[in-house]
Amino acid sequence: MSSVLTLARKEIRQIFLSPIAYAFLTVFVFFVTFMFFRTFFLVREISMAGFFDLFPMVMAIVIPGVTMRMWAEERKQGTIEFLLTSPIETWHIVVGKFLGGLALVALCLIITLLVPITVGRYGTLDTGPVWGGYIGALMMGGTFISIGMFVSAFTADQIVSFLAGVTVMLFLVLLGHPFISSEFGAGSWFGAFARTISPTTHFESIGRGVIDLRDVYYFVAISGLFLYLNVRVIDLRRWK
Amino acid sequence: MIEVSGLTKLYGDFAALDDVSFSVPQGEILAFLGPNGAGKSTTMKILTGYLSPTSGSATLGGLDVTEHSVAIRQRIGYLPETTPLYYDMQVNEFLAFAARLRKVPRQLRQGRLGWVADICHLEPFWKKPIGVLSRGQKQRVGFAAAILHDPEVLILDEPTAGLDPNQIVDIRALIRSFAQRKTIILSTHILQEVNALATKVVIVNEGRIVADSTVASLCEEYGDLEQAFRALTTAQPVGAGAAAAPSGDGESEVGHE
Repeated sequence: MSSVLTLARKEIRQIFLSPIAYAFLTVFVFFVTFMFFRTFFLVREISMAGFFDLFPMVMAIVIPGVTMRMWAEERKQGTIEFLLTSPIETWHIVVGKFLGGLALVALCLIITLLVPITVGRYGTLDTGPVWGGYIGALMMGGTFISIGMFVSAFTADQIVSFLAGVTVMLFLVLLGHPFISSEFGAGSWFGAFARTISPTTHFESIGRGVIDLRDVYYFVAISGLFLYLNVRVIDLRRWK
Repeated sequence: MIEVSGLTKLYGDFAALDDVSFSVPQGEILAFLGPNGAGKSTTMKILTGYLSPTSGSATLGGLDVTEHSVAIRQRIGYLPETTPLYYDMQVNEFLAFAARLRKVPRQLRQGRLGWVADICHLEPFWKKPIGVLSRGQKQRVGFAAAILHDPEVLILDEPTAGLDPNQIVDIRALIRSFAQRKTIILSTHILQEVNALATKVVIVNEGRIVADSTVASLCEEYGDLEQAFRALTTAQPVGAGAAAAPSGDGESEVGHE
């Protein structure tokens, strides 16, 4: 366990030493804040619904920017050999990296707390959906990090890693868009399937403020699955 | 201490290692020689758990390196050929990180860091980012990271490659200072180094062992090490020998993509 924390600390350090982390933070915070307030003062409704609606899409685009270097950089610099010949299990490295990425997402979310605080000053805000939205966002962030890391394990090229990550995540997010899951596939097995596997549906469900264990289970299971696959991909490289 | 038997590593159809067997008794320094691409690094990467063998086995202190990989790695200090280091970390931060990963107990950590800083002469650049250091300084940092947890076995892949003569003398003195207490496998292209450090010599060529002997008996048989090396690694039918030499950097490319 202490190896995991050592590796998480190293990952956090590297994330915050690179300009990419600050670009990520800035884009994320400014984008969600600006897009929300652009309509907030027109609609004049004390609700955060429009705010959280932006999260799946924005996260699908910015999180690959954080995860793209996680394995790609280790492979390019050769430091993967340092890690894999240290007396630690592969899953320690994978979980350490995951926690490092999650820390950055958590920091972004904490900064955006200024938005509900501001909204609350204009009227009484129902806090249930706000907490739900944040818990859902953290879990969706974790899921996207695990997917992005998995993708990053296949290439030493950060650009390829980024684009592949965005593609996979946008695809999953869009599956949960009403156009796909309701209009196009209404009532069909495909619509139900799309709603089940898309993070968007589960995020929106948690965001209503009622935490359904099925949604929690979805995020934990998908994160766990991709972290496990990540360990397998790294270990398989030893047999190459 | 180290027993390698029938080790084979295939990359597709290409055999980087073909039935390699040798052993290193406790406390010996084994010089591992061979042309580039002969399989030296591949063997070292298997011993340190970075690669898995296609077939055959290797044991260290009786433990199989594939089955007990993590326990084995705890007992090995490994300096890879490329000296992988985190260039954005300072020397002291990197070594503190390495000490934690190698499970150096908390109460020993400061002492160990001071010890490696002292014997590897790291004080002048202790708080500098690794990226700005010279090749020789980086090599000393890599060496320090390899010995931090005071392992029983050192595996050093071309530890003096690319260094100037002064730096070579430094690293060589370091290796010699460990000779009494550790089992060491050392690969090198500098044959005087073998004379200066090792007693046992294994020469590999195209993935096969062509000599497993002592420095003294190779010198006796061939005159000196250089002639032994030339004779053993170019001894193919006319024409094939010329093709073998420039097969060149295959080893390092195969080793880490």
